[in-house]
Amino acid sequence: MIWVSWRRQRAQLITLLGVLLVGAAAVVLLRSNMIGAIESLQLTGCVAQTGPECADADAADRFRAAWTNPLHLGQAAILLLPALIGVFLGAPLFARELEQGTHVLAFTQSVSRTRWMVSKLVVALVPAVVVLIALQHLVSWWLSAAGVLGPRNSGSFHFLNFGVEHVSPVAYAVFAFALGTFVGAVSRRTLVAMTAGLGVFTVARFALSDLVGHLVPPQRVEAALGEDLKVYQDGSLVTGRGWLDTSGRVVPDDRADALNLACKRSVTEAGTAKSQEEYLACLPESGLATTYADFVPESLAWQVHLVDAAIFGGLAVLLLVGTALVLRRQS
Amino acid sequence: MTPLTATAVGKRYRTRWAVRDCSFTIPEGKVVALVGPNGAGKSTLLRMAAGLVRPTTGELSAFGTPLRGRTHPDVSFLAQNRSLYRDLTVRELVRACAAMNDRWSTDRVHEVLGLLAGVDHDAKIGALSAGALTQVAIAVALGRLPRLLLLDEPLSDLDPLARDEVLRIVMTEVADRGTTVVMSSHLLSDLREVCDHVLLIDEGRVQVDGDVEGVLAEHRVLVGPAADEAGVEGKLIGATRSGRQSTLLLRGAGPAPAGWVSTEPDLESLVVGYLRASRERRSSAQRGHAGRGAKSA
Amino acid sequence: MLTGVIEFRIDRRSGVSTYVQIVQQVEQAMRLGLLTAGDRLPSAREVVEAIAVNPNTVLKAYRELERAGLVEARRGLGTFVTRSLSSEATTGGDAPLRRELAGWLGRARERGLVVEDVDALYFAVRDEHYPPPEERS
Repeated sequence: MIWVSWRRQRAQLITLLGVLLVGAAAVVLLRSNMIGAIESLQLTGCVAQTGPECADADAADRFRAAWTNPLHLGQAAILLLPALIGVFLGAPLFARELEQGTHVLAFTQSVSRTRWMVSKLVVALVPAVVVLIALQHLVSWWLSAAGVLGPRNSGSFHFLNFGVEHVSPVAYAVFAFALGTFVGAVSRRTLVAMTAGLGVFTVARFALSDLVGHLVPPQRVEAALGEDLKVYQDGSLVTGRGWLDTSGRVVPDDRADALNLACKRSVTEAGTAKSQEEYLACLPESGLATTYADFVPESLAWQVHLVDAAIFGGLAVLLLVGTALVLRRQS
Repeated sequence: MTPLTATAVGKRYRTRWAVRDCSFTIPEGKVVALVGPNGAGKSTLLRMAAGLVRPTTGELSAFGTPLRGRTHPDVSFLAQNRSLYRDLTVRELVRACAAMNDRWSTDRVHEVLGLLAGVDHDAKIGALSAGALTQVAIAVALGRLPRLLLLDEPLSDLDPLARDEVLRIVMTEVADRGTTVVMSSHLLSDLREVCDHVLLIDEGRVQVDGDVEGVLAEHRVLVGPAADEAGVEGKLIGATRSGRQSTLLLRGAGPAPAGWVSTEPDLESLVVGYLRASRERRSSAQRGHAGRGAKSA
Repeated sequence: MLTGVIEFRIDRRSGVSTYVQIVQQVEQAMRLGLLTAGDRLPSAREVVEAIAVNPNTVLKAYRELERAGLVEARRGLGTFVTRSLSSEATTGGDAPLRRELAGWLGRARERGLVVEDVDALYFAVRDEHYPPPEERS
């Protein structure tokens, strides 16, 4: 049965292998060129950290001007790959069989529908995930060669960095694939499954990317009035911010805004030179003692990745169960 | 053990009944012609017998086992569109079908592929002629060594030579293994020489079911004066009347009254008689509807 | 595949049922001396491979012939012709009756009779000498 599925999906699997080879060759070539550029610009010391020993800011700027776009493209490819797996492997998997009526051949042999379905899923999905993981690691290897000179400087929670790290790409790919198969089984039209699957995947991906950070228990920092919160600079994921009153309770946002505005207005009306100090003095009097931020530190990014994987993986399982139910009822 | 039994089987698609209250038994070793006009429910019935479609009401069983959404191991089904993997070669398709079956005879497949002009094993399925495509489809259906072979419109879109050849292949299987065959067609003339049992369905219901000889012996065509139909005995199936002369198709007719000529119908005129009668019933029912509508308006 | 002794052909428009046609063709071949005692009839498999008919129909025709005492089925071997129906009068190109008929047809042709005229004449005279059985009703 595995042979049958392999033979039926041979063209796609060969394409997948081609993507891997071309991608790997491109990454190896670009990475070695980039290392050459780092060496010729004498930026080797700046890969690990930025600071005084990396004084030549001009060289770093020139490097970034030349290499930021290629590195972002590499990341974008890893972000895009799950969508492509969904569109070109997931969507046609059952839709094409149903469209051409060839499922009837399989359904009237002695192999069970479940076994038929599972073998098709495995033969299509496993190689796709393997290729994705390989390319993800290749791109990651390239990114780390640029270190903080490259996109890594924006921190683990940056959209481009988060989406290509850890288990997230695999989770997105499995979700996109499952979504494609489900829409394909329901619609029985390859083209519909490809376009609708891509649309739903894009929406789900953007809609859920904000939600994910809020599902990890955050840490809270407080800052006295007039002080800055460091979490905005150290690459942490900030999930909430606001004011605390003198007893340390959170002041509701609309009330805090009103109080803040009242203080600002009173200062402006007074019009004296000491307005900033008066403003800062006004706030605690109105009940706004400190500011706070809820955040997930960069070191705990893995937790967010796991939540991400759990959500997309869970949805994928539901969609695959749905596909199985649709196919069982299919005539 | 009867190859196929239907008990009050019905299948509804949304609001339309494709098959309704069908009960019949297919005797072992028979070649059954499942005939009826397009859209009569033949395909639905065969797909239910193949375990592809679950009936809405009633039950089908093959060799005594009720069918529940799976193809019985002793049954092979040939879909109307042949449903083969078009991008594979014949050899690869045979290997694929072998992989999908517990009981399989590649020898039998090769034997059938070798009949007539023979099929090139390295040809792409998609590049085969309609006749060769059907030969391959039948070959892989027979590779399962079925005891009941269900063929949905096996002769449609074939030229006369290919029709003859496909029938010879199927008849060879019957001669070799005594396989029971149910073949659907909207053209009875295709199946007249090969079938020995007829199942006529129209509007999803069984109209005629039985051994061809028996069914024919049961019916009479009476031709006589239109003014004098009172003396005719038997169940009137259909009639055509032109001026003074009536032609009546009767079931269980008594002796012909004076002035009437009685003959046994051939299969084709029998089937046409039934179908014409059911069409007339349908159109007169519609006229009835239209008439009432006009009155109320 | 065929034994070469006899080949059936089915006229699908004749209205005569297939098994009757097979019976008639065997009898005719026996009368013409094409089949004689000891000849094996083609098996049902051989017949259906050559012409698309139901093998049960072939077997039914053979049973009919067996009832008429013309052939016998030997288990595992096939169906064999048991006796000869040919006579001096029907066999061979130089049988006297055949010669006479050939002469008559030649004269009919010279007079300009077409095949329908010949058939009409033949059936009319034949029915006088061999009255047809009563039509059952």
